[in-house]
Amino acid sequence: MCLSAEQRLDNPTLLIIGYGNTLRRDDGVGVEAARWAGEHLARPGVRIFESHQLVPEMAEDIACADRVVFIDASVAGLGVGKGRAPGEVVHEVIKPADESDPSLGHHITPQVLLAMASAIFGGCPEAELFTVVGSDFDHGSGLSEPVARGLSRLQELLRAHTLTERSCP
Amino acid sequence: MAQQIKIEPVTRIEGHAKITLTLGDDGKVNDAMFHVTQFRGFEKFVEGRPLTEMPSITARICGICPVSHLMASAKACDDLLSVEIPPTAVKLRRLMNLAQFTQSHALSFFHLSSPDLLLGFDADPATRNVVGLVRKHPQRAADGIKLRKFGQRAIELLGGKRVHPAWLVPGGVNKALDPAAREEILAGIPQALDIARRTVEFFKTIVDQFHHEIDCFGNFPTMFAGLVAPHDLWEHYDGTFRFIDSDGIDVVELNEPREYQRYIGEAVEEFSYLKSPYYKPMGYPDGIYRVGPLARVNICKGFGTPLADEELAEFRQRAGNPALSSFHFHWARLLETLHAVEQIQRILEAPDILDKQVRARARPNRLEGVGISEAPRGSLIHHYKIDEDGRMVWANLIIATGHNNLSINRGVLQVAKEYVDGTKLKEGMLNRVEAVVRTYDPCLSCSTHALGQMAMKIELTDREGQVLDVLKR
Amino acid sequence: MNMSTLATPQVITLQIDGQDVSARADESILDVARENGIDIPTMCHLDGLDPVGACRLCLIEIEGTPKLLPACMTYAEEGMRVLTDSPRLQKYRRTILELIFAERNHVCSVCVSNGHCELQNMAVKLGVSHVTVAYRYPKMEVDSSHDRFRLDHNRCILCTRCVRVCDAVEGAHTKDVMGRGVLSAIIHDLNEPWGDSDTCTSCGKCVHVCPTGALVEKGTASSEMAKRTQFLPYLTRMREHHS
Repeated sequence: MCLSAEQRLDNPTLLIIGYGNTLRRDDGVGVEAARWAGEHLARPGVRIFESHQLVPEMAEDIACADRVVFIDASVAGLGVGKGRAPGEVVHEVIKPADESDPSLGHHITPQVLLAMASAIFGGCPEAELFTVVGSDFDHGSGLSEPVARGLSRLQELLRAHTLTERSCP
Repeated sequence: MAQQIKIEPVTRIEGHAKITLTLGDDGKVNDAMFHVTQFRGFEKFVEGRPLTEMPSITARICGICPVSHLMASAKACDDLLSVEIPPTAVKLRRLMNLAQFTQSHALSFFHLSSPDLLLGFDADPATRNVVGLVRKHPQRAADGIKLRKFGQRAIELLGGKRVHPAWLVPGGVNKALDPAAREEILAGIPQALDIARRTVEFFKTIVDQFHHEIDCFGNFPTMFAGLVAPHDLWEHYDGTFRFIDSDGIDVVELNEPREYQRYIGEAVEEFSYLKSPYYKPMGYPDGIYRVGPLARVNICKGFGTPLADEELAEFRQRAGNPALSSFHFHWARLLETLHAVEQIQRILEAPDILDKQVRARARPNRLEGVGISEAPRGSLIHHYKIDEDGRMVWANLIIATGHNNLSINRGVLQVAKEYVDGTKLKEGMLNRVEAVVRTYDPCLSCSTHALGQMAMKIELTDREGQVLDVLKR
Repeated sequence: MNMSTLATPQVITLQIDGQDVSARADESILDVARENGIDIPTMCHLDGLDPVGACRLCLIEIEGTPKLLPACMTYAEEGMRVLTDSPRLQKYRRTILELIFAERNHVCSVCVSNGHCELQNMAVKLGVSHVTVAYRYPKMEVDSSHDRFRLDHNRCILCTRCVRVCDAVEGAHTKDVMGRGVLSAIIHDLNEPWGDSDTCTSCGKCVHVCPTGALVEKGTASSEMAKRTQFLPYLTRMREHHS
């Protein structure tokens, strides 16, 4: 259930979604970050989800938030990870997708979720995506050395970021 | 010269697969192969483990439908213990399975198949996807999300956890239903029922546009198999396992799950890790049969709930009895969703639903046990053998998508013959080849796949494997 | 036992983590630390059983001694300066836990003790989120021959709590350890299946002192095996009073 506009003014809500597969080593960095956030950043107005993947029903929660922070992992040399070294943390402001790649299958991107949140539930929060570039996506748990360091940097960024008070329209 | 077209991966199905089309000298498709390229080895590594761990181990086969494996596994364990589980536990297990049907069918219809059905098979692939769908049909997309959430939430409330609940145990369930959880699920019923009803209504208005697809999307006579309840009612958890032929005549009914090996053989093909089960008396590959929503609906005489039965009557009239086109898996899925919501309400209103007696305790009393339940995608068979101390010595699992393997292959061939012309590789044609696979909503169990960022790739190769042409989206 | 015949123990003073504490000479550093609210992690230690120093998690540093010593087996001495939580010790403790996890097949997600496991809790407490050494994946047996209990060697960390409780408290000495190094394993009597043991009284104490899912009650499914260890200190104390 969404808060009324008045309630939201008093209490702007932040949603943090960390996702990935913790059984595929560095892919789990988003979930690790969300767990950390649950312990260190939890306060009224902050909701934190950890999930193995983005799922359509998150669209409603996203539409209800004022700000959304996604945390994901990326393979070095591919996509966001292109030309970047493992452990680097990439920050982007993201907008709802205009289109999605049909070949992605059941894999949903943050941009697609934002598009769903806005088209279906009429909510368009400010959104950003932190991506940690990883190197080891093999079976197993635990993060590689550079990504573990990246996680610490990400934690600092998240702490600084989420403490910033933003005025809400 | 024979040529091959490969479509890899097949998108918008659960998991990853690859399709190879082999072209004859005339440039027409003369063979089709649906490859499942994952190998998991669960049957091997459970050896030596205590049987009580089986439900939670096999639930890990899949992060998409763990509930289904929990059901079949718990039932196989009940069989090993030779117990009759408390009636309330039966109801609670049914409740969870129906919630799983609801959420899984919602995902299949609204998110995986709707882009094709609502935007058209020939729509520009740039918009024929979830984003295109939510823009053009925001209300339908919202329905899909809400219905899925209803099912997911019910599973979470019952099992205490959404993905791998450890609630189902040999002998029943490990916790009685919390009255507050009952209230919360009941409160969601009216909306879920509305959505299920209007979705069937809507589907009926568009289904006739697809007469061409209905004709060639796996439209052929086969047997159908699945569970059926006493009085020939639709079933998903218990009941008996029945085969019917393509005229709807009963062929055989298993007296008990342990008889399955008398009727089901498993062939192994070199091109796929997925085994191909077949109806033994007919031999391989003539013993082709289908399972899943279409099969269950064809096998039963009715659902036993008013709204679903009304819709079933219309379905029979318009789609045939039995309905033979795999395209009608979609419609059958919507009927089952409607029934699932009705039935969830009925079970929650049962007077003994909050009873605390939900688990039968026993030691292993047999050395071999079989559990059959219906997953959203079709019949799931778990067959275990244990030693006298209750340790697993052997396991065999036949998954829903396995039963449908032969039919999927034949369906792909049928569509490819109709739509694929070796001299032209058009997006719409290839999408139909994939779409026929998607009607079965196959789950290839990809819970451990890493990053899903793989582009669709089509390779045209000659007999020696020389790549002649490559198309990428 | 007649208390009046005991000599008054000598009281000594020492420093633990910079804190001045007093102790009796017959107290271990672990006892003294805990009396003073200083937590030292342990796995094989259990109140009511004699210490053995098997797990090495309670290692401490003592000024002037290059060796690390187990707090449970080291006695307080006058003027000792003890460190219980130095970065070096933290590193060793994490490594010890990682080695325990890597040595056998500790698959938490499907384990009957998931959520009630002392090893799992310790990993959380010490921040061991992953294992950096290579897993051994040994092929281990599950002994399900006992009527009510099961021994899963895959989950055993060889803390020997079961061996000690069986010997010292129950008095049966059914359990013992056989083999050396990584081949060490808990056995019953002369390495017979548990169910064939003539000495086992089926009291179940070993099951409830086991910190992991190695010793469990049969019929429990994933996450259902919660252990009850409260009985032990009471039992020990009652026997002391009555003998």
